[in-house]
Amino acid sequence: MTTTEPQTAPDETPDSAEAGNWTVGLRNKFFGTYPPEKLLPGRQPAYLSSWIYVFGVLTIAALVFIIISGLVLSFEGPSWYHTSSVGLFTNSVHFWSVQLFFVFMVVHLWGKFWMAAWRGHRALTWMTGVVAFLMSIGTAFTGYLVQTNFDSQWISFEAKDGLNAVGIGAWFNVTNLGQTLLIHVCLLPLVLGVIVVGHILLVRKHGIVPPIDVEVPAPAADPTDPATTEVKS
Amino acid sequence: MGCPGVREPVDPRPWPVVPELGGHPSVDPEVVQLPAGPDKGLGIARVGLAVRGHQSILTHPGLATKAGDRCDVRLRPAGPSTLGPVVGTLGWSTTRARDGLAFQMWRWPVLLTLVMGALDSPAHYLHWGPILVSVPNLIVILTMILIFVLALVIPFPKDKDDES
Repeated sequence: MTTTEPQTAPDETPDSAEAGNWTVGLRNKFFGTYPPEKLLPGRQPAYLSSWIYVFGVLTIAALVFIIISGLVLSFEGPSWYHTSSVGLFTNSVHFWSVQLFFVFMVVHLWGKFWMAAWRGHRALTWMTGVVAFLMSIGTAFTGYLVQTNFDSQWISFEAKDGLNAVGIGAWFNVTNLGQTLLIHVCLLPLVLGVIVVGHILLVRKHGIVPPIDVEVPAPAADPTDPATTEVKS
Repeated sequence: MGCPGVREPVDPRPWPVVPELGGHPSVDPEVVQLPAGPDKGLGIARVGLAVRGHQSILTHPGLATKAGDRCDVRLRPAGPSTLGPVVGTLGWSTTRARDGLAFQMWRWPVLLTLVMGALDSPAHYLHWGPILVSVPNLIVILTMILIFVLALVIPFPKDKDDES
């Protein structure tokens, strides 16, 4: 009977075996920054008891409706959503979800602007929100262009002149339905989705900004959390 | 009508005649038929109102002139006999429409279609010096401001456990 030598030396610990492993490093960095209690918190500061703090999650809820209805529309196609009752309804759900998405996002933007939401090392959170807003405008614009009706024809031929006037008409041809459709259903949703996820992760990392006139006591439970340690100067 | 650029409807077949709906003293509806045109995202209203590929709108005689001013509206000869397809599309047979309940039931789509017709019309614009804004856009902006103010002033419901 033979015995097999262990692959690692007896004095080698699992940590040293994983040293230099990039997946382990990434895991430690992510879960060090986002422990489960911070990623999905059970309780929030008392200053969140205001309707003005609801509009961020309302914007995300509208975005979920947009994505789901958009997936259905992309699978079924214009011949379905222009002719059948269910298709027209789904098309309308997509359209009106976009309208609500922008209403919620604008109110969210106003609320965050007037409470100077970039305080407390939250500049990147604010900037990702700004970029998400601009990307949303572009996504909605290309959405109007790919309605495949007279409305989209009118909008594209009006926009064509504007884009030509600023010199990008040859690169971004809004009358090219194939190009615009791919931008609308592939490129921009992907980029916008990444930015929105990053925005949410930054909110989780730094915590939701308190109102300007609120003094937040530093809790003993989590002294490293900026959201609960910020004290107004 | 004197309106340029009026498109012919896709399906020019005549509307079925429904004589039993005629001559009601308080409504006396007539059908104003829109040509198939741009999708304004009003499909929810249109689900129950699309008739053989057309959009249709009901109106009271007093509002017919206003609706007729729209240059993309094609008026059919006024008369209650044109109501049948709409009632049928809404799911109520023309026979049921004889009784009072069914008659009341189709009043809400009349209001709905009036709203839809207003939204499908070219927008009015307000002009103050360099500022030019359409009335629909102004309504949306004012609504967002109202929501913003209400979100600040309306108290948020509190959890009973947190009151202590």
